[in-house]
Amino acid sequence: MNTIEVKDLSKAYVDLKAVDNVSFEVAQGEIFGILGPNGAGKTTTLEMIEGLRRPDSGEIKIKTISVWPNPGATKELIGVQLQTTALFDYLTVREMLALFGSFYRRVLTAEKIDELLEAVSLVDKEKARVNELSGGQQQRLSIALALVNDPEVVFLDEPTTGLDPQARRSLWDVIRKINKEGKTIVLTTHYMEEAEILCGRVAIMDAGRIIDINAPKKLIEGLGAEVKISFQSSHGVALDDLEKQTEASETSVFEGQYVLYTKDVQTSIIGLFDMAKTDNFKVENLQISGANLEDVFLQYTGKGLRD
Amino acid sequence: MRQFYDLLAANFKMTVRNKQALFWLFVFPLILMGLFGIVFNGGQATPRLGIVDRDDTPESQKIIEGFEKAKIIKLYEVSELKDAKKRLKAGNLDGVVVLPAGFSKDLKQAIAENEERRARQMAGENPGSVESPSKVKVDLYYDPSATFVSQVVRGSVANVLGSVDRAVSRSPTLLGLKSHSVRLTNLRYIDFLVPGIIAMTLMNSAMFGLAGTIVSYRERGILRRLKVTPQPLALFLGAQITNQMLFSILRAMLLVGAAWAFFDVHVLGSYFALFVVIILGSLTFVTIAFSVASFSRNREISDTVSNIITMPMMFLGGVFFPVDTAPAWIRPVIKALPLTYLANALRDVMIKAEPLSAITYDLWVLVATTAVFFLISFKLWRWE
Repeated sequence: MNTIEVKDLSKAYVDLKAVDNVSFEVAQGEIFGILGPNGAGKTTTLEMIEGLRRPDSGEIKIKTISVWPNPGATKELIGVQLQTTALFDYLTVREMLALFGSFYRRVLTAEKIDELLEAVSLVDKEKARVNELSGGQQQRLSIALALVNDPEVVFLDEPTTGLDPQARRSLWDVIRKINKEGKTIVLTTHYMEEAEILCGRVAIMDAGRIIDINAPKKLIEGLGAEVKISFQSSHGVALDDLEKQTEASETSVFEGQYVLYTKDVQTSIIGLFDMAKTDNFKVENLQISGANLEDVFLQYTGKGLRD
Repeated sequence: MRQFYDLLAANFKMTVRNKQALFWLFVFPLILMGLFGIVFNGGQATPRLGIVDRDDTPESQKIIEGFEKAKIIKLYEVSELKDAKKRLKAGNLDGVVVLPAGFSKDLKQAIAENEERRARQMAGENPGSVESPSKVKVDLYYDPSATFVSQVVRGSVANVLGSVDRAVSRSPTLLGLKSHSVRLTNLRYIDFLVPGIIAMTLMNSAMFGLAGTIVSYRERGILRRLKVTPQPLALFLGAQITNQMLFSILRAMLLVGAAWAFFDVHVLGSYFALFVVIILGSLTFVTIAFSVASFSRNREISDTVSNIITMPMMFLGGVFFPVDTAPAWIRPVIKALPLTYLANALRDVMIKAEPLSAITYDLWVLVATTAVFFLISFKLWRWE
């Protein structure tokens, strides 16, 4: 069953089409990612679903309830983390959670607050003032705030932007944990590794349009992109021979570093080691690097994600 | 109701924990009051009093000697009332006392009556049945529009008359000022200052505390974050405003308490009237603050605009010094400032013991100002 249904959604600002005829569905229990560069329309799309911004046209349903024209109807169902960490400086972590809990019909008990603190690893910070928290801790708190009403679906708008790699990894763990507990999650990001690691499906968005939606792996496979295999050898290897044996489309060597490109990694690797056995050379420093979402994005839009 | 209480409690906590704001809203006005109170208390320019002796008897001379000995006023003997009035109008005198013709005769009679009364009292007659002696009247002229100065003059004259009275008649009740309807208080600068400081804090806490907070909430996305919850934002703002009122009352209590403890300042009017004026004044500046907050994109803008609004009021609204002697050309400006009416109303209640019915004009001006700025902020308000 689909938790979210978005159909023909559009929103324009003056002369800019921020969101241009966007449609997608998010299934119950999935982590759905919207990937795209800054200004692609990710946040605007999210804000229309959250009931913050009225769409020019199109329809949005959460759990079969239309968000517009009456966004109040779906507010009890959703939990939201906005791009800016909007927190009250002078409240403690626990007070912040209790206050936001009081905004909802569902009662937030002290035990439930303990669980939330546990889930976002802020148990030892419950008495700390919000302005004493690090960036990563504030981000984790704002995710916990998105969970105070035990929502059906959680929206995370660029949850890891501005965090150091370690804080980002710990946040990924938190997001996975929440998802395991059965929450549907919609997140935007402009980090492709984040989308690849977290998301079951990813919508690639650029200039207000959704270009493709699929599982990250399928998107990459769909590229038909070649895998790069590089290695060093104890003896010289004939490139013609190498190309034939590994069924590579292209081979090269530079300062003892052999590189070959192939669509079929398995055939190429078996071919390479057969050849090494027959010709009696040793394969060293073998590296295989596949295409990633960055390449997918590049393929579709002709530009990089972090422009 | 429960939700409102939770919001209010959270707001209260945040206000108490914001040390910087607490300093500006509580400690700073106290320091200001203390400094001004110490520096200017008693340092007030001595009122200049003209005296016209129409009786010209040894008794009236004694009264004049009494005035001369008093250090709280500076005495000028004037022969004609007409001249004295002219000098009063020119601002060369702050008040004129007239000892009427027949003054000594009346005084002698009063003393005689008093003696007789005392004798009867000694004889064991019920003192209640004895008519109290008629007071000997002394006329006082002053400019009623110069409220502050005239209060000082009236207070001084009453003081001096009291002491002369005691010396001449051995009874403190024989001499009286003719202007009996006027309350005779020895008004000091600190008495004038305390209501002014309270008015100022009502203004500043709204303009810098509330407006700045709302703008930074919007700037930092807190209003948007609240908007995705089912909680109506109006409830949030309502709690914010209630919190503001609560602290306005607490602050006024603190200031009044400190003024009482350190400077012996007393609230002469009713505390209920004071409460009403504080709530209304606070509301007036809350709506002005919301108007500023509604169009200010960030805190720098709202603080700048608030400065532009509060600066003229600080100096022309009658916080630190009386503005009723200001030159005519600036009076329209003074009359256009909401703080003028708030300071006036507070002062009338606190030091003149006026009931609410006597300050309806000030109150209506505040109500009208509140209504206008409520509409402005309602029209211009932006959540984002």
